[in-house]
Amino acid sequence: MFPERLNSSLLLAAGGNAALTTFLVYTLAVFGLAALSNRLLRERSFLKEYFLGSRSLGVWTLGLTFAATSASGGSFTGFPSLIYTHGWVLAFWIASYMIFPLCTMGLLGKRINQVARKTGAITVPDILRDRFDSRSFALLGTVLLVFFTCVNLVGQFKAGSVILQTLLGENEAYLRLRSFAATAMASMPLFSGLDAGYVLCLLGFGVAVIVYTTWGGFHAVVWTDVMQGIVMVLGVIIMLPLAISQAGGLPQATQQLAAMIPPQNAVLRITPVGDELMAVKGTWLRSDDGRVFRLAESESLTAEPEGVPVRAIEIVDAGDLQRIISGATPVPFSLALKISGVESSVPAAFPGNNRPGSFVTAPGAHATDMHGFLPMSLAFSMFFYWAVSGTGQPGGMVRLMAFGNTKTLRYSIVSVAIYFSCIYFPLVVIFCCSRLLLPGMETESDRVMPQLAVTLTNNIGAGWLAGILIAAPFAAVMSTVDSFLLMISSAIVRDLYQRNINPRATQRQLQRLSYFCTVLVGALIVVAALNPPKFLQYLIVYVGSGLAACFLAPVTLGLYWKRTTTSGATAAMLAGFLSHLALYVGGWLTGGGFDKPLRPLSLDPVVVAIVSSFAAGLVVSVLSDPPAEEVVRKFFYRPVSQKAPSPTERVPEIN
Amino acid sequence: MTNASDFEPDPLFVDSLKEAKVILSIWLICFVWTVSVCLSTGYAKEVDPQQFPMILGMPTWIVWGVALPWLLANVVTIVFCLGYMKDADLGEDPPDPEDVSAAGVAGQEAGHVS
Repeated sequence: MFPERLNSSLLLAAGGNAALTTFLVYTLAVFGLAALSNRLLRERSFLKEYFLGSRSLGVWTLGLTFAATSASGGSFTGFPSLIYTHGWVLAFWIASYMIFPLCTMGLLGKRINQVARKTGAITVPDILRDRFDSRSFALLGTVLLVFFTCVNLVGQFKAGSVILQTLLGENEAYLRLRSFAATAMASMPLFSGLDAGYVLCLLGFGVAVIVYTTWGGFHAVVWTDVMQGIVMVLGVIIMLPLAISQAGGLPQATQQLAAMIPPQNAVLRITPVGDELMAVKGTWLRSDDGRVFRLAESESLTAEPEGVPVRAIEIVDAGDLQRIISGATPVPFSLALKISGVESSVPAAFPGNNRPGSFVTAPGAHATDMHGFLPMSLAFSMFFYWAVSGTGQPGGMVRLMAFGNTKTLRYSIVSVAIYFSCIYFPLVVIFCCSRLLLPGMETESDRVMPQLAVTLTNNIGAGWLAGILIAAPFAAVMSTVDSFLLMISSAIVRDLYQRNINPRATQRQLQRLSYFCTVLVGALIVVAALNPPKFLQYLIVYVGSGLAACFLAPVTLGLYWKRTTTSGATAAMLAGFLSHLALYVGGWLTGGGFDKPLRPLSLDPVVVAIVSSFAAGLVVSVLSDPPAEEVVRKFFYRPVSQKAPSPTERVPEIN
Repeated sequence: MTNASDFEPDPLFVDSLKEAKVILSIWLICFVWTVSVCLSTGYAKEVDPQQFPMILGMPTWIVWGVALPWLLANVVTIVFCLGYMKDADLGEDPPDPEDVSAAGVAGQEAGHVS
């Protein structure tokens, strides 16, 4: 233990206690909501209630479940980390959220709900099956849905565990449990070589989510989403004034960011001073000539005088250095390690020559890419990406099938628009300010959210508040995971079993199968997340947008274009899937790696895939025989007798 | 045998299609505004930290290119949803076969109890 890391450890311990308390209160609350929800299951039609809440969502439940499901763990871990690392340009990167609620809810909302009611559909493949009168097409949709969602869920469970682990930090009870688990795991082959803290948090997080989702079904998921949505916005609203005031006001913060220079990438040679033989990532060091470094990786040391090379960052910004040296920003320098030499220290790739201004202008600072974070060519895709690909997410479509009436939808769109405005833009402001309060976080920028929460609240002597603030990230992950879990089990129970294997299944059989599937899928994903393959992170980048590429065009064309045929919709789905996959595989084959797909005309793969998908749907529909007349009538017309009398039509008087 | 004249376009479909076109137009306006302002003013080559243009502590290009259209997009969203979007009857679900069988099971169970 480094004595100089004590300060940081105490902070983490305080945060850990608050996080543990919050997590326990949270878990109790979600179980309470699941119990309430389970009572509804006994009173209503099981499948419709379990997977769709009996189409009874109101304004706040629809709005907050939609918002919370859209905001995954990335909103509170990855996004803050990007803002911290690249600066104000992230406001431009996320800008299409200004129109996100109107696009994602308004484009399909009324129509998908109406079509689902016409056929009694409770899942997205259900709608495709009925609209196109094709079991095989629905099956294709189900397979793609289950594949993409499962891979995504493994990543989300992993993120849930990592976030919980970070938040519990140095909490004593957690540390004791972790060492006990490490001893127990040593004798179990399944767990050999795994980190006890990760496994413990994965099991805690996984069991809690699986139990309340299985027990309570859709309503439990929606109500917990509402609670989690409130926690998220509360976290942001509390952090915003604290961050601005502690950074000396927003004008002051932006002014200093305008002058700021990103840290340099360095390689140091490190030797131990005493018997410490490990250089730990995040450790602060000062060279004899006063230069300030922070280690970017952990490395075993030797006693040899020339030292061991370790990657680090060098703080070169005059403002940061002044705050660190004057003690305005307390930094615990290590006395247990010594810098025996600086092998190299080079400026960040962008702006390249330590020019100021990269944190307040586009394309934004970048440590390794000389084009910066958001080159002009990519900016175009980003505006398309969020709003349009968000519309194609089946998780959102299911929620749009669940509201009670159109007035609910109209007011929910307004509430989500205000909600997102209170989250995303303020997050940019908060984490731009965080650069002044937490220097050197580039080495572990994923931790900037909990670290800032603890710092801000400790600075005002209200450490307990950190619990609420750092609850936001795991609220975000939980609300995404539970929805995905239910989406997979509904695909299996409704689309595979009831529709294809046993259409005469009784209520009780479906109920048992639904519970069984939710637990089984959840358990399998926890096992997969125990030791995920190395390429998982690349797959997650791929599957994140893959669902929109497959589903947006078939669903939109099916809802709005009478001439769409089964062949056209199938071609749209396959074209979206294959073109998206081809760009990722192409990137991998050309040596860029699976996470660096090909970008024709600098367009993101999802943009190319959605355009290809619509084009294939239109062309193949026109070339194939028109759909049956009764299908078109069922979905696009109504009998004249249903016509409501308009105010101008007078009933003739009978004399 | 039904006749084509016995049917008329579903008004919810007609209204939804009209509203979808308006939403896409709003998206296009936001896209053109934000991308053109940010691309033309946000990608500065040189920055003078002492003279960096700001409004309310935010970079000027962010205010004109993101914050202002975001604010207006919210106003447009509110006006569109509360003033333009039409309410309509969404219809009812057809009775599920499982409901019928459940009603049968419930009836049998009730018979047992009594």
